[in-house]
Amino acid sequence: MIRLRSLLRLAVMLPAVLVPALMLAGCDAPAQDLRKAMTQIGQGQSRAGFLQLQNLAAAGYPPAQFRLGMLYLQGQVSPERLAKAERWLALAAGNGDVGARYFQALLWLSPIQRGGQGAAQSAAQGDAPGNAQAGLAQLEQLAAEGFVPAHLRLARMHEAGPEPLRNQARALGWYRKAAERGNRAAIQRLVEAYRQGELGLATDPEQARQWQRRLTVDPFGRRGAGSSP
Amino acid sequence: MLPPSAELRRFGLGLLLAMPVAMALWWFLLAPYLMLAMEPLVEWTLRLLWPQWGLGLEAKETLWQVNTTLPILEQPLRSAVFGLPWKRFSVAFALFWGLALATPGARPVLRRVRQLLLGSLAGIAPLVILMAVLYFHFELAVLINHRPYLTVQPPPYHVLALPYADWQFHLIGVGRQLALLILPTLGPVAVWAALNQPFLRAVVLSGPSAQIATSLPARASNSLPTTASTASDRADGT
Repeated sequence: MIRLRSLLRLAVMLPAVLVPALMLAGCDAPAQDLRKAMTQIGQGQSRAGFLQLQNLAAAGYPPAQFRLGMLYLQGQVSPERLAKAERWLALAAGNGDVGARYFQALLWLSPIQRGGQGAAQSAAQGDAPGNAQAGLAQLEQLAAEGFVPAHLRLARMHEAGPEPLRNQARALGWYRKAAERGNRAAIQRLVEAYRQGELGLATDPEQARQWQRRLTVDPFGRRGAGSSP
Repeated sequence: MLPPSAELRRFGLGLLLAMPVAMALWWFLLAPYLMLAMEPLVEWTLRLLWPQWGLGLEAKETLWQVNTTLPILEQPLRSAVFGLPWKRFSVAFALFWGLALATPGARPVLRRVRQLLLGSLAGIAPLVILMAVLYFHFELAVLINHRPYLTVQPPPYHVLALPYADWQFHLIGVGRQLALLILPTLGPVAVWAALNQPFLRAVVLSGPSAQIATSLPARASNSLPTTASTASDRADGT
């Protein structure tokens, strides 16, 4: 038998349960405020957006601390701005924000990029100035958690970074990890390396073809898959 | 009550007439209003499930645009934006209306309207929300894991978030297929079936038995009276 009465009861009960839940969902105020602040900044209302962002960051909201750190990091970098950027990124990274952890690591590693061999030697030996060793460790930690841009960054650093950090085997290892996660840049690099015999690999056209296939064949077996809706 | 085979024929004819009408109504007239009505519900549900990304829904022509606070690696001050093809989900309404209108029976108009409203609100609307959630989760997973899956390629930019585990990623892929292929078609049928159980029992399920019973010799058919009589009794009961 059709149970219209019980269905009607359900139709009344559902909103009674859902509405409070949905209202609670609407209470994720910091995230919504952050979105509004970023929209304002994007639309050129920089002052209002910045103030809102500052309030959120001061209230301890990690994504806002990260964005504020990045705002300070961008544009003309002065020592004062850099210090502020470091401070906000450190706060956000301490609260586990992935972006902040990544950019903090890059910030820590920047003396290696700028300072060349001496700084890199220190980083490789573990007594690096400017937290370079910590930066490397943080990047490796992110890579271990599966964050592919960290794989790529490490691979490139070990492939073409300052001399003491260069390590073809490590570079190959990180490229492989990124490639296995479907990263196109890493796959392309592996194809090239197998073709040219780079990264400590012997020339192997078959392997190159196999990796190339990962770029050109989609899961349904059609060749040359492009982007789709 | 007509015999089951005649009822089935009426239902088939009804489908031929009602389904195009329901589809046309949905496509040309009601779709934008449905989209507006469903928008806050879908938005709140997405916010409830992913509070960390500050999601906001915005109607953009044929899409619901989902704005997020998910930062982009290459431009960390910008955030990822998604598109949800709401028309693919809301077709479930039209299918349900077509089925409900095509169902034969001496039901008063008010009762039919009540079934249309009840099925749409308590059955199809939650289904549409579920489809939007499953589809959004898949888009999010493809973007976060930044790897192609099914026919979908990730955009060129990366986002700053830790990836899903492989088994979660594949499970979310199944959810996407459910949202795009199975729920929009089978969902309305299930809701219609739940609201029209007497018709189903009397006509569709017992139809073949009833036909067999009528075609059997008298002695044999005596052993099968219950099915046919029950079917017609139930059908009369509607």
